[in-house]
Order: sequence, then C-alpha cells, then structure tokens
Amino acid sequence: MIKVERLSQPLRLSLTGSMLICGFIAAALLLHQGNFASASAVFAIGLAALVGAGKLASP
Amino acid sequence: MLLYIAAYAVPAAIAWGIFALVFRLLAAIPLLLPLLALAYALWFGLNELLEFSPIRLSLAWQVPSSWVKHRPAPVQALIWGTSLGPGLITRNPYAGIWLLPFLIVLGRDPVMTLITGLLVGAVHGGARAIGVLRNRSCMRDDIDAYLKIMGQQQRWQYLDGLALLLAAGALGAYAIFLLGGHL
Repeated sequence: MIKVERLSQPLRLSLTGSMLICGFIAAALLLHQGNFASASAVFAIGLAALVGAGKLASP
Repeated sequence: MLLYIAAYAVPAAIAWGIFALVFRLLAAIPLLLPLLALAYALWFGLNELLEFSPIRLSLAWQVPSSWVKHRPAPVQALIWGTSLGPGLITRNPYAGIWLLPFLIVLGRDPVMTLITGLLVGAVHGGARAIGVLRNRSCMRDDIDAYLKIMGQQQRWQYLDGLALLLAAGALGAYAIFLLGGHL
C-alpha cells in the first residue's frame, strides 16, 4: 500500500501565493544589488540537485 | 562509490555544458527566454502544487536491457551514468528539469553560462547517482522500500512545485525590470 501525504488545498494555495511573492521580492532586491545573474545560477544548481535526487531508482 | 558517482556526474557535466552553449544562442532574442521561463515556471509550478493537470513534459525512453546485459559492472555504471546522469532523455517526473536551461543562460557572460552549465550537470548527475545508491540500499534492507519510494515522489513533487513558483515570482520581477519598470 502506498502512503501518499497530501497537503490540504488551503495550505497549497497559501504556499503558492507566498512563493510567488517571496520570489518577486527577492529578485527585486537582487536586481537592485546587481546580483540577479549569480543568484539565478546558484538557484539553478540547487534545483538540479533537487530534480536529480528526487528521481526514482531505475538501475 | 565515488567512481559510480563520477560515472553519472562527468557525462552529465559535459552534456549540460554543451547544452548551455547551444541554448545560449536563443538569448540573442531580447525578452524571449525570460518570458518563456516565466510562463513555464508559473504553469508547471501551479500544476505540481495544485495538481490540476496530469500533463508532464517527459520522454518515456528507458535504457534498453540489451545495453547493460552481460557487461562488467564498471561498463554498466558508465552506460547508466551516461544515459541517466544528464536527465535529458529519460523519464523525469519533475518539471523543474526543463527550467534549468532557461536559468543557466540568464547571465550574459558566456564563461559564466558554461561554468553554470557544467556545475548544473555535475550536481544533477551526482545527486541522481546518490539517489540510486540510497534507493538500492533501502531496497536491499526493506521489501516494501519501492512502494515507500513511490510515495515519497509526491513530497518531491511539492518541493519542485514550490521551487518553480519561487522562480516564477523572481522571473516576473526580472521581466518587469527588462521592460524598463521600476521595482
């Protein structure tokens, strides 16, 4: 039996809004400081780790 | 174990380095990549968190068993690593993978683009190899491990959705900035 933990819909909606706002504010600050390109590169490396580690084992 | 991780990370770094340089050609068109990235991150971030559509951008191809059958273990690891490490041609349940090319080429410096591409590939391949090794040891110790791993995929999908939405917010600000808006 697969146990899947599902988040409630109100929590998902509030997470959606929070993430969008946090991303917007963080980017605005980084653009002011001129660090947006470096930050997006670091974010890309983190995202690569997330999607790589999360995949199921085939071999 | 280190050699196994290297068998995934090195081909992935090379593949992503080349991919970054090729994809960078599209950056010559102003606003194209940031706006495409924004639309992609917003749509798939909402999709992964709110689960309103089963559509996934993923290939169903898998490494044929004839490629690895009757081969020595190091050759098998190299074949698996080269095929799975870059994450570009095999099944991928997380939409975040296709946001990476957009993020890599956001910087205007070609050297930085190449370095970011190499690092993204190496980290993706390395993380994938560590995931494979961890899952293998779980499956050896626990007969129900595969089912548990399947269940955990939902949690990873939420995390990927959150990361995509964070990126969507940031890309929205970046698009406004490029259009000359004051933030």
